[in-house]
Amino acid sequence: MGLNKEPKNNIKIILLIILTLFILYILHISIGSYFGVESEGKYDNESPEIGFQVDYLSKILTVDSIYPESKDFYWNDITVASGNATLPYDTIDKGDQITNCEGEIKLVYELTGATIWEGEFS
Amino acid sequence: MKFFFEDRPKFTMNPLILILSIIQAVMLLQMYIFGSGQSYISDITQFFQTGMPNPSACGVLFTVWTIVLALYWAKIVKSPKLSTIMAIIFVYFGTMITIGFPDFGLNWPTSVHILEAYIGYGYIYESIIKKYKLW
Repeated sequence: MGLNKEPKNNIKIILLIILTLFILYILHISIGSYFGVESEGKYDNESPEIGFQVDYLSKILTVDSIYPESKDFYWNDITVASGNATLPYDTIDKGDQITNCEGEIKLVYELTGATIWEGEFS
Repeated sequence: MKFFFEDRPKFTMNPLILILSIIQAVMLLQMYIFGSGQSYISDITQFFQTGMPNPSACGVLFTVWTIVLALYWAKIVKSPKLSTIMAIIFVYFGTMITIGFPDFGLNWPTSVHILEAYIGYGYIYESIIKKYKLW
């Protein structure tokens, strides 16, 4: 570990950093929402980015990846805007399968209106 | 123009923190590149258009800067000016994200920004304390 020869200096730095993080936290509570608005609410109501493995023969979409992983997303918030498909229930997890896909499928995340996936099944 | 940081900060930039930062930054970066690359370019573009940090921009810039800081600490890169500029940028990113993000930058992947704030502010405090013998 790289430390200064004068231990006092290390203590001063620790105290200043703790003070800074405390001030940042106060600012976060008081004006944090302002930044959320400035970033167009992107981080308040973020659309998930879901990667699917597509099986055209079995007409199944399997969830391959979800971002951000730290947040829970729900199948209830996703609608099949076009085509027919059977969505799973509860939270969106890797390995979940959308079955009976038919026609031109378009999955939309209702909270933001973002398109999650588009594709055509014969 | 004289810069503050001609002595390499020892406490703020100790090897443990630098290694931890590099690991976390690289993980963040690879997640964006190999995990969900769809928003990667648009997030970078958005950062330069709006100035508001976002995860992709932070992932790339934090990785590069942390590695350069590590090289500076190891005396491979010998540019106090470059490391000073990077420390100021770390302060900017650390401040904006800890204040602006809903989770105070505590949850993955935004937890990387607590490290940014730590390195950025710590670097500046340490340099000022040593140079001016404050306190």
